[in-house]
Amino acid sequence: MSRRKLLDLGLELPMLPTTSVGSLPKPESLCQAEAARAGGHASDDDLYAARQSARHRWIRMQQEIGLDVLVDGEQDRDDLVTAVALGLDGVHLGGLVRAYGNTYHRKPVIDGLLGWKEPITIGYWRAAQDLTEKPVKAVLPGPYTLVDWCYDQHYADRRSAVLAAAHALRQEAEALVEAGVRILQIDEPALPARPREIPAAAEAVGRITRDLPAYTICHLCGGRFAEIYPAILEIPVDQLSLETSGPSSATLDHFHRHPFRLDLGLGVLDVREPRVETADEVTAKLRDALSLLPMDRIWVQPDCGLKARTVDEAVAKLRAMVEGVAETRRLVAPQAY
Amino acid sequence: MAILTATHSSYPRIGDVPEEQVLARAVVAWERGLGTDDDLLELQQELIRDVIHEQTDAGIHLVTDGQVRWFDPISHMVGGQIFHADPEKTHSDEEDDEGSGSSSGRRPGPGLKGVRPGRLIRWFDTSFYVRQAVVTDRIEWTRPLTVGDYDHAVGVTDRPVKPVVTGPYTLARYSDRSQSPYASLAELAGDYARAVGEEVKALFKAGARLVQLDEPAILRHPEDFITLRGCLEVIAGIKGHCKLLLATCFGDATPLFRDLSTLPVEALGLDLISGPGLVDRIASDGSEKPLALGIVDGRNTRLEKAETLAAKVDRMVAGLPKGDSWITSSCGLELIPRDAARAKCRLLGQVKELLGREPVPAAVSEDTVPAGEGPGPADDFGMDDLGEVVT
Repeated sequence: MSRRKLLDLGLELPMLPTTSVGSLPKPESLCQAEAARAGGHASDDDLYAARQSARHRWIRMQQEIGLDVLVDGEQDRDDLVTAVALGLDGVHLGGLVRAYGNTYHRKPVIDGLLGWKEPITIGYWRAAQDLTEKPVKAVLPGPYTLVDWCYDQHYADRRSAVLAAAHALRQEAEALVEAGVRILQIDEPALPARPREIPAAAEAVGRITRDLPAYTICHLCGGRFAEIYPAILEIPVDQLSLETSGPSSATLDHFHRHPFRLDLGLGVLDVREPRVETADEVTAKLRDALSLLPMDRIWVQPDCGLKARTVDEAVAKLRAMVEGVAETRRLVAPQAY
Repeated sequence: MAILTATHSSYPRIGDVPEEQVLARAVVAWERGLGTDDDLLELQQELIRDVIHEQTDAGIHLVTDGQVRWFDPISHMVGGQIFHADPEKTHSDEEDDEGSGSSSGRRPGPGLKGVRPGRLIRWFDTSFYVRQAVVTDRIEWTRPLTVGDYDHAVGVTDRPVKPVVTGPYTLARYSDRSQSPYASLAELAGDYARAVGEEVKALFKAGARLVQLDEPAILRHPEDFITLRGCLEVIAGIKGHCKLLLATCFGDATPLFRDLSTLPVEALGLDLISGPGLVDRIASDGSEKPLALGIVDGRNTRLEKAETLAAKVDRMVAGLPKGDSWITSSCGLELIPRDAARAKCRLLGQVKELLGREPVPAAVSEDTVPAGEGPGPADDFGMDDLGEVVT
């Protein structure tokens, strides 16, 4: 059914479409520009130029690697939530807090009614889409994750805040679709840590995706898969994007007991490890997935965003992935590929 | 019976003004080889002094060192790839060859043997990340991990200092044992327990009379309660006369409250934000053990009303045993910005004032300190009223 939806949206993708989840490593030139700007040694224009250059570079590399659906790589921002949250009414930036080790960040603070006032992410998406003929997917933080990654000084409970966030994000999603987005990914990395709240989160995501004329994806990572499956099948999207590599390599085992009924974004690259997978490893993982799902319902990607890897590591991993998928297409449908 | 204010465990090590970012910048420089180990240690110890003063200025009675030298709750115990100038050298019985020498860059800290920090993983459902422990051999405690910081903290305040140690069950749950000789989680937790027992014993020798064991993982895995009990029994056999406060958080302890009360520890720390039902439970059933009531939300910057919190505490007070109990935050305060942490500490002080109870310090008497183990600082926790440890 979702294959039909893709065609109706004008998206003619090959079987086993390859993509990346969202973030890509920032090249050294961009990191230096950000440091210079933070230290007052570079202007906003300098930083903008560095970001544009990084975006150009990544769109070019994704095309050269052979990915089917591209991402903008989040070169303009540091995390999934902050820029989007700050674009809403009712949010301000909080004080420094430690993320890990000696790394600190500022978390947004919800201090009033959450409200959408103007497009927030269209610029990121359009800047990438204008550089390529291939489809670029837009990525938004999910409402559950957006609230979870903020301090909440306004709402009486998390459910109220999450539903308010969903209402605001729905308007952002509509703006993106109106601008031309055909693939929308909603990231909910906060959700697996609280399996009991999956139904409420599913309701909130549904407020974004219901009747939205786009192919929708929900990306989940972290947590223990046994605790969230099959409940996550109730999230109303076309595709669930899941980790199945490294510590998550047993994810597919759960599909034997509870058949997976959506499209699957199959994570074949362990983004936490610098080791570059081989094409054969990717092929083997695809073989396992194809024993459970038909080829027309599987997309292939890394487990999660690649920003923790170096540029060279990320490119090498993505190349191996594309090579493994190409080999699998030849094996499964030799007449087509 | 007295209700005292206490810091739970961690405290923010950075603020939004340049003066409160000195250590963060120093660590960056130290990692690049631009500062010596002694320079870093001096700054870290200055920060311990500063955060303790912030706690006491806000009205906190039982303070911690804020764990400001900890990379994270797992890595500090495990050691390895952490920014860690070593204050433990004065307490080790042997030279640590790993700890001497280079004055630049990251180098191994004084962790447990048989384990090293690995990949970053999420710390429960918070937005904080820790390095998972990778176990490669049998776990072994070889030297104190927290005594140096405890010594320093005691030296900068006249308030009682509560050392905090990550508990063995949580260490085991946050370990990758796939490369280790351990066949089961319980077996690994048992060896971690032996190590933690030695650490508690070392802290007692240094003068600590109450040590907090942080065991948040048990709330995620109540099916392992027997394993936790086994760990605490191991620790009880090693630690000597040091009293233990078992702290849980990041989950609802209400279903486990009765069972937690039977463990061989002298006090319990409870997260009343994640477990609001505990208020009714404690009000109706009381507690045999003194409690550290986590009434202030350590994960959100929203500032609660002192009157509301005082009313909650009043409901529970009648059920608390004689001796000291405490009001504190639901978890460590490092999950919120420093301004918010200061405000939360002041809030605890305000709640204390509304409760209107005066602390009744009880000094440690000579016959509660076994001969040969040396005198410690005055113990005004009132813990001696607890009597025998429940086993």
